[in-house]
Amino acid sequence: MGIKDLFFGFFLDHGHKEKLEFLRRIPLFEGLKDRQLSHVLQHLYQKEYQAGESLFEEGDIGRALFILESGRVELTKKMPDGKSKSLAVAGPGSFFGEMALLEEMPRSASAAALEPSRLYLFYKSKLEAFLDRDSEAGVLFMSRLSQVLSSRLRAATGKKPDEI
Amino acid sequence: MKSESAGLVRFFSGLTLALALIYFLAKIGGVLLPFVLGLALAYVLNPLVRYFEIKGLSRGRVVAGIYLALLAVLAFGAVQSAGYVGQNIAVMKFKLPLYARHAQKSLDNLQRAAAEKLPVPSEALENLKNQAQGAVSGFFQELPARAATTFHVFSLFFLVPFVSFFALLEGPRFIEAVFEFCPSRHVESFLSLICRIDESLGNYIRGILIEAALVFLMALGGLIYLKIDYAVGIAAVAGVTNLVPYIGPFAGTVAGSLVALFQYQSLAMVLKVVVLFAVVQFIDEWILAPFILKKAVELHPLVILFALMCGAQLFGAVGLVFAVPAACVLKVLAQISLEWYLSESGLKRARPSFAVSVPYT
Repeated sequence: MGIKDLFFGFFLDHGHKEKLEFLRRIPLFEGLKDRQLSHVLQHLYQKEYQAGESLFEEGDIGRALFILESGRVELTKKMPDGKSKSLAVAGPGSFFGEMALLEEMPRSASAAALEPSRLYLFYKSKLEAFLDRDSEAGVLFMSRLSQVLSSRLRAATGKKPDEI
Repeated sequence: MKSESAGLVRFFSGLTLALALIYFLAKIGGVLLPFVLGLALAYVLNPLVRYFEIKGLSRGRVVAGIYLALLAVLAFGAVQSAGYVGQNIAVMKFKLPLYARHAQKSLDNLQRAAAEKLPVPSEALENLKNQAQGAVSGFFQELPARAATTFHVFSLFFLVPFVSFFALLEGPRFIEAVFEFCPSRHVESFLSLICRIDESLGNYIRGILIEAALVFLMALGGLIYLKIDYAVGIAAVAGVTNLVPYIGPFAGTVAGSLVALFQYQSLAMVLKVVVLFAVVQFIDEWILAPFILKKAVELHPLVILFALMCGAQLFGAVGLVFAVPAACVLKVLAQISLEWYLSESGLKRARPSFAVSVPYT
């Protein structure tokens, strides 16, 4: 090991590579280069939730996209009879709340941690800063976001486009 | 009705808290300066720390590295400039009485000219001259003491980097600490507020400080070229007072012109200094500011005037310098809080759905 490696090794953040590897697996960030992923990482906030803790409630104003790093989060929706219906259980690598990146509108479902969970929060204002800074990465990200929304919309309607 | 009164209670509680905070800040005004400057310096240095973080380096070690590098640069600069500063101080010590004598001579000449040309009793002119003489000699005598007490220069040299070091180091951890105290359901909203404030203020503070530094450098270059004494001090006055609209641009010009007048006793040199500062102001107003402060907050001239008066009343000279940046900060905070309140309370109108008449295809 040379002096240069030793010098940079001293300053290196050893968790950085693992975080980039994690982000690379998220479909929203597919195709982004390491440098661009590092920029995204700068705009993410990490938060740990305990089992049973609420992330947000249906009707709350959505302001961030949630990316689940570890743990499990249940998404539920209130039915007209007042009971809650489980929509999905998100596991590591899942993300939800993506509509908040486009519009600050009330959430359509509630989310709560089923077990101790670690999440990344990506705020609309931070996304705007990211898009402003790197338009090439921004276009790629927005294209992935559109694909995700389209896929989820298709799944939500339960119909293929030719069946509508 | 009930929710209306609850809203009013919340509003007045917030207002009372804000007024109490302003009163408290006004009371401890002098103590705040190193903290405000330290945080501003942290905002300026943060993009550099982020640049290295993006390369995969550890924040703590990068901050320590930057400070060590800055310390080395400052130590080198201090050693290199010690001679120049010492020379300037020696020149000042020698020339201040000389300048005072020049000023007195000018007053005598003025008195003679006035006595010859104006029908004013000589006692009145004598009184006027004595008063002006007292003011001028008082100004020169109190100059070093005033400078030292107003700016606490030496304590700031140590305190500002100290505060900014910890602000840089603890920045993200501070936000994580806020997370811990905030109920989990409201983390999203609360942090969104912090993110927006951080984005707006970061850009603004970095902008004005970079602008002030560039004005300082331009003025310094010009003054050294014109061989004006105390170039560093005059350029520093021009840079710092650049934060004060309307008054700021004149402070550097007046300081530079006075020194040029006393040093060379030539109106041509004064004119050169005035032209220099006019050019600096032109470059600042028409080239630097539109580029650096393209995302800055705009304030109405009356608001600027009001802010300056409030700043001067509450914090004296320091308040004058920070009044406009503080007003911009308050405006950003008010804008964000209002938007936040409107969206949280559901008062903000949803954007009308568009192009939904055609089904999903």
